[in-house]
Amino acid sequence: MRADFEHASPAPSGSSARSGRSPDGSETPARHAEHDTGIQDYLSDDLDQLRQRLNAATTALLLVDESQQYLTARAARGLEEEVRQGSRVPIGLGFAGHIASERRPLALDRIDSATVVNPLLWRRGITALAGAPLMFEGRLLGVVHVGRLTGSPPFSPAEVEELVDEADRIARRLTEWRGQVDRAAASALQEGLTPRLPRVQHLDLAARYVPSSLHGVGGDWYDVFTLPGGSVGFAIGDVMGHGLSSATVMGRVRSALRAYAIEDDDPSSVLTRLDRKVQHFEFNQMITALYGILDPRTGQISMSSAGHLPPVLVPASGPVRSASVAVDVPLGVMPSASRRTTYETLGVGDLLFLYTDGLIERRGGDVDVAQLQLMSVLAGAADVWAEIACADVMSALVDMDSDSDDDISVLALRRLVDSARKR
Amino acid sequence: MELNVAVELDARDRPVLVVGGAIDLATRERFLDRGYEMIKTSTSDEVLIDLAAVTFLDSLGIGALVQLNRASAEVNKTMVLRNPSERVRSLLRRIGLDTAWPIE
Repeated sequence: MRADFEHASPAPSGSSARSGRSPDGSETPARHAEHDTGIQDYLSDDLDQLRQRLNAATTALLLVDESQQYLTARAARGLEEEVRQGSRVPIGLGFAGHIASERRPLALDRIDSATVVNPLLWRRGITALAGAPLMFEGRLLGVVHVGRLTGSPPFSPAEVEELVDEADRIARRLTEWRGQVDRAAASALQEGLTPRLPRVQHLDLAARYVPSSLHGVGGDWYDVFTLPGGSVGFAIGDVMGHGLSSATVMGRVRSALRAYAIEDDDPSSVLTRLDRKVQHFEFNQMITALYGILDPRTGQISMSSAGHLPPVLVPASGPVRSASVAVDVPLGVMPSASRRTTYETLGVGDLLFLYTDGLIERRGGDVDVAQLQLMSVLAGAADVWAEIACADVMSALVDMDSDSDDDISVLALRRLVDSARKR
Repeated sequence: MELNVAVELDARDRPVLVVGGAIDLATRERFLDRGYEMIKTSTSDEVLIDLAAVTFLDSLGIGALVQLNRASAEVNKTMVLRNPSERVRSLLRRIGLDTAWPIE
């Protein structure tokens, strides 16, 4: 799904609920802090230019951290200690903290413990400071400030105006940088997490993952693994949102599902446990997932769906249909949602096709029409290799000429021979 | 696409958040802001949201509804959706959300 909770919470001032760590210390999407270490290099010229234009001895960039409660020094000129010491200022306190909470520029011509939180600033001999918020699309990213040493004049209102312009430019550069880093990290993560399909006797497996052309990788995943006792667990899911934050949540959810799956042979109870984990540790996430267990010997399937689209069942002969599976609420939506397991049988040569909504959801397109198209493509792929079925679907439904908002995952499982009868 | 949000009073003088247009990436934040405001200020124990004029709702919009539902529950209020179009209704059904909250 192409939804993103990261910036969607309410933003009362000083609230920690906007995003990031929730008060109980639960896991949150990885944000940018850990990647901002390279920012000093990326913004090096910008900081020099800023210092020159404003005739300043020092400049520092402080960014809002994961908790949304502190500013942390990330890049500086003439104040490098600030970054090395990892200086932190609570939003709302002191010079930078005040600029952040008020979202307005500020100039100071008295620097001491009464006006400034960070002792580095007055120890360094700074006698005048001017700072401005770094804003991008209405969101606060941090604060930039410039300082002058003993004997220099304070910053004039015109100079503060100039600083505000510079802050806008730096905020844009910063956003660009984070976009690049996020995309690179997210795609490395997706790649690392893409499972190798296991070799299972009497089972023919294939899968595809395609990132969105607009947003890169997202929170989709698929998984197939063997279970103790000879059955096979299969899953497909979609963490709302895109980019690094969704990909990291996806990684945690996927491995949690595996952990519950080897302990429990009822899909609805695996998803119930997973839901509890998501609600406890993942702040403001909504996830759709389908988990099923297939016994390749008998073709017996049990499945449970947390808001996920039902798979398509493609019999070796006979009409294609939606697999019957009761759709319960997605993960992360409400405490103690009731979940059901539904049973199906996969005959010899039958194929079960699972997918995420990126395959059929197009802006301006009709989901029902796309779903019918999917069924008819699959009808033409009865009793063919799973790889071929996937290829047919992708070439028919994935439009390479238009931008896609959402990532796409598909997974196909086909039963090869009736080993139960053979034995 | 545009989003229109306004608070109106229903026949029983209760505030209703009347939403029209699209709830998607572009409008989600504004929809949420108005929703949270409604939850905070309304004295009723129901948070009424009228979706009759919603023409587009994607998974982002659904995510926003889920968040408002959660925020309502946190202050012991119930979010109630009113008059969703057949399209919106079937979308909610498709992802198992038609039983997550009252729909009138």
